[in-house]
Amino acid sequence: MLPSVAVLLTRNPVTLRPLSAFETAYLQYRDTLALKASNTKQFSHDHFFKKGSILQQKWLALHNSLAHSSPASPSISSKQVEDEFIAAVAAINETVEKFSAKDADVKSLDRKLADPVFLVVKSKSTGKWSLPGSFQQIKQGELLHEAAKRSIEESCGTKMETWAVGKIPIGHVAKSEKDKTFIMKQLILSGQVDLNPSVVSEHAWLTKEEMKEKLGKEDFEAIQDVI
Amino acid sequence: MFVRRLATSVPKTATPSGDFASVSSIDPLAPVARARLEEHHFSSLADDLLVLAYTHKSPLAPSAAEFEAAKKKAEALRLDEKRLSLTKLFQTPLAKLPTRPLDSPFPVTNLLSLKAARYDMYHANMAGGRMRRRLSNIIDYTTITDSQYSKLDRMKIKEVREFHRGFEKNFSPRIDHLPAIRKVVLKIWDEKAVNNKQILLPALLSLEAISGTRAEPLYATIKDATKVIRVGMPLGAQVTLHPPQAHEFLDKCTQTLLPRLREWPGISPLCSKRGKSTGIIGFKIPVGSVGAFPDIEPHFDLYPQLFEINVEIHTTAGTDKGAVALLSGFQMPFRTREEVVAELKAGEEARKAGIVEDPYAKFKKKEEAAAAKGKKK
Repeated sequence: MLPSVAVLLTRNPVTLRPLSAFETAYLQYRDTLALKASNTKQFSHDHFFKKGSILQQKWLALHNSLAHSSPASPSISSKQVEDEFIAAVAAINETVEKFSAKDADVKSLDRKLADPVFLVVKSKSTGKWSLPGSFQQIKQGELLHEAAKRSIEESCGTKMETWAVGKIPIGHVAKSEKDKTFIMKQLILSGQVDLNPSVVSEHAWLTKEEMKEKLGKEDFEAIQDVI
Repeated sequence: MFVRRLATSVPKTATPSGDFASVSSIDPLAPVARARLEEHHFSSLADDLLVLAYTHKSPLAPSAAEFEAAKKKAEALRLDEKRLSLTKLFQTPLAKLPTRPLDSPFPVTNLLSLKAARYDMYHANMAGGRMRRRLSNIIDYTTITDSQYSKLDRMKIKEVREFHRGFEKNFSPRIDHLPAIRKVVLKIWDEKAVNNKQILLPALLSLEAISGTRAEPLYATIKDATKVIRVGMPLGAQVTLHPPQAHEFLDKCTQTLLPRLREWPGISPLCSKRGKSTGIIGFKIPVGSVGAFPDIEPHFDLYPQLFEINVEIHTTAGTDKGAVALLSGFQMPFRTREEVVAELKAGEEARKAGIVEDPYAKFKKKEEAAAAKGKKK
């Protein structure tokens, strides 16, 4: 019996992940160290303004009154700067809220932007959730990475631009000596899933924790250390 | 080695925890800059590089017994995770602690750059002339002899080491061997500074503007009487960037500078040393394009002269293939290997045949034709 090839189709994280309080504190500490390091270039205003010009006087008047501020020792800044900062933070929070609204839609590729998400499909015949391509066997004489490409196209359509990460599998599930499923990794670059309704009834883009509930125990154990 | 936590398991806004915030004057809501490429390397790129470079029949792969033992240990650790004990922490040998303090001149803030920093430490004690690797004792910095060294690890045996130099075929399944960026060095070298030292000022200032760190002058090491160069004369400028500034610089290059270069074929995937393969990839930013940096463009008139910048990217990879795999993950544009090899070959053959490249060849034919016409008349 020929083995089957399952595909772990990954969408890499799009945004930086949010930091914990400890991480923020540590990185602020690192920034203050970097400010005090000997190789830091101190801003030389002489280089950018003509000596004694009105523009330079205005700039000095504004900046000399401000104490040197760093993330670890914030100083009293001008009201204009504070207002700008508040507006910027508000804009960022608004965008974050807009995008986190998409987290609920499991079919959207814009969900959970700070985490990698993986494609999981529901087979039409058995009704079980699994990685795409799990239930199809490879053809005689076909290589693993070719089979992976073919199985993704057959079950999820050709409207996705994918890139195969190497030609070797990242894991395998061996139900018996002869019944093996090799898992190949691919990255999605653009496009969306275009389901083939005769093979697959539903799809979802899930994070690792969400996959744990949906996938079978064996399937998840095979890849849990790799993702 | 890499412990990854999901973004969803971290609270969205960092909450101050009582005394800690007030005592340390840390503002938990203040924004903190992170290098985008460093985060990408840690979260996505490292996994993909492991897969791309994997070789199943490596002698460094664990035997079946070792693999079972490692699996059991991983299971035990997974169960033990919630019961973290201080005794366990103190039982870890000093060398294995991830946050063991280093005597490095630059701050080391994550596991990737820690490995890069240790790379220099382990390769620092090379006997002059013999170039044999010597490990230095971490506590008192005495050297360990080769025989002692080889007993430490199979990898230290010369044959095994050479077999595993390669990235494509012979990469071992060890995450220790993942390529990472060690440093990025920017250099300017102009011999015209012999007559006029003031020329170096815009060189230093432009490097400082690009990198954000202080630039140092570069001195001549070889004398040349014909050009009136003496050893020790300042003839160039240099800046060394360590991660995360190195990642930020490469990001700046890839996103803002390189797309604006005209008729630029891409970075050569071979290292500059002919016939060798090291983990150092270099490219030159032409003179006319240095002004395209976003740090220089608005104040372009401030610089009386700009110079060609030689960018060297030092990685922990042992070969150019490993370095190229890492950098192409950062979206750096490379030429195809075949193209570059063919070009070099053609250049060598031309040199052997004695053909000297004449930039005015296309004009000469017209001249000769005109001269011939004149003769006929």
